[in-house]
Amino acid sequence: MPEFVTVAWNTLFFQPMLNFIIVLYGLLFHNFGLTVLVFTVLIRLAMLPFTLKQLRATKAMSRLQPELSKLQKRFGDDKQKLTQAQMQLYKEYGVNPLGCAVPTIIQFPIWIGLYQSIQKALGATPQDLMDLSRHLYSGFDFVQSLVPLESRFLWLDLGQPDPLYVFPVLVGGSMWFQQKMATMPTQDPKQQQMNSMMQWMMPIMFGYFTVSFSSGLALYWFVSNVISMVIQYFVTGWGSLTFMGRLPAMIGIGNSTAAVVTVAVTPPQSETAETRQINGKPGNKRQNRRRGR
Amino acid sequence: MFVVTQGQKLLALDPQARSKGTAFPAPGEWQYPAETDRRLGASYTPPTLAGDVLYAVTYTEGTANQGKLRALNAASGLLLWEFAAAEIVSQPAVKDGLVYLGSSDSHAYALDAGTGQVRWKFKTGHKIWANVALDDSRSAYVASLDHKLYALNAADGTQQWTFPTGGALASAPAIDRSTLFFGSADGRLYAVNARSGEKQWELNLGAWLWATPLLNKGILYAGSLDGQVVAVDASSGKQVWDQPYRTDGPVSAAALMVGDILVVAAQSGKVYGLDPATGRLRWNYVADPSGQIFSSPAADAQSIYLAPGNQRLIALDGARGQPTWVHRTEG
Repeated sequence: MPEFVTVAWNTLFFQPMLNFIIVLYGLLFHNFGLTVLVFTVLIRLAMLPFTLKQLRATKAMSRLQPELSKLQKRFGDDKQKLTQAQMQLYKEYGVNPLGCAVPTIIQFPIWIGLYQSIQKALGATPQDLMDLSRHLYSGFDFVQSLVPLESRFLWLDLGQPDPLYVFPVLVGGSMWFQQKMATMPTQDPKQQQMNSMMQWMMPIMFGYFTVSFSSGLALYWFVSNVISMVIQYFVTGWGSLTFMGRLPAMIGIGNSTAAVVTVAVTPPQSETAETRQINGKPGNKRQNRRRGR
Repeated sequence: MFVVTQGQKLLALDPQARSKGTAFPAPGEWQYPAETDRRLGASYTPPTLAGDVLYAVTYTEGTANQGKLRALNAASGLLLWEFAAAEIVSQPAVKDGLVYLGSSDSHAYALDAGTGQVRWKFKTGHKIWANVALDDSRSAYVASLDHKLYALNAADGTQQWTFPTGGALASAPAIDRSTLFFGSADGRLYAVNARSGEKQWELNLGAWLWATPLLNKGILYAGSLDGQVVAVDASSGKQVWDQPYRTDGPVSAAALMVGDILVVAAQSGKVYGLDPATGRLRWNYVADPSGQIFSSPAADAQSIYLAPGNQRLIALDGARGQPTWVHRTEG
């Protein structure tokens, strides 16, 4: 990597993040696990506008799916015309397909920066500690006074992978649930196949990463997934996690098991034209929003 | 001369044989472990010779987070005893039949020099990477990463006083009669009364101080991790040179005097010979263009011995900074 890229990355991203995390550690009773938890919440709060935009874009894309299928049938192999028609459709409904990817793209540098910060902040060897000194802001006695950091949290050394393999399971499992919630039901077999593949690929991949990465990063991923699920629930409901939608009734709470939902895709201006029926009654907006319809 | 190589072997070398390029091992030379396929473990620390016994530590061995202290017969390289603790960075100090050692398990240990049995141990709040410093008043001084310097009774390990600083302490104090001089990761150089633990002065250098300062003729020489080398009047804490000398890399190894030259090694792999009175450069030598120097150089009356990271042991002429011989180690 060119030197100037490294310098720019360190100056603009990594070092501010590292120093911020260390200050947070100082404020949170010298507990690095708590620091990662609070840091994750703060990051997710900062990203909330993007996340909401992504969820709404995903939801809108899901609604457009029948229309997109029709276009595919109509234009067949004429890719150019198909693309034009799709773009027209997106424009008509005010949907930006790229909006789905922004939060994910933003998260990549955060992951890299956090991984580096954890490795540097919790480094165990004399070289690690000497190297850390190069990245701390000089003149901030508070930051200097916190080093070396305590890396123990529950059974974990947060600078090392989880020796009991609990976090690979938690990260993989929570990601599976989150993916399942994020996936909107679709009738398109191709889309179903793609969804099914993503459903398993991402959790397995991240679970595998967690086996070898520091458990501090695993903690971030797990907490981040849980927060995603909570946000997701309030915006789109349970998504493809249908059994969770039935859970309240299965355990005898409420009477929402017989939810019958019919969605007719119409331009957003005529939202009232959506035909919705929940439990045989017209649902109120709040109920519908919670169910992601 | 004894050295632990990056290939994790402890070597006993004869400087005369090395200067002539005699094949290793020359008479009197040995390596431990003797078997070519066995290794000691990673080590940050040079061994300590006390009488006819050599004390060598390893940071870790194999995959275990555990280092070892070994006592070996210095003449033959035969193992006398060994002691296992958490990762060990501290160099053993030997006095009055006891071996003093700090460990990453937060304990300072005093072991029987003859058997390796623990006589006492003292727990601090964090890892101990510094050597245990000993003075003539039967005190042992333990610098810990918990930011404190501890004064202990060397005979039984009971605490006499502590001195808190604003940063981690990675190295032992230098001792001059009744004063201790040491640097901290808070960027300050401290002078503390050895009897009472009271501060005499402090000097803020603004960068982490890692190595033990060198005390020579009433002047302290200290290097910092931002590459500065300073000279400080030990009695007043005032800087002596017009300005600090700036090396091209962090200085984590203790400086030393060879004749009238102040020798400083930087992590960049470069060694500097400075005028101790003015801080002006007399010579410099690139010991390892691509590597690093973490361990402190050793010296005798004329020569400096360096172990940089490029699998070489280098002897330099102290006056001119030119290599007199190079011994290539395996690994």
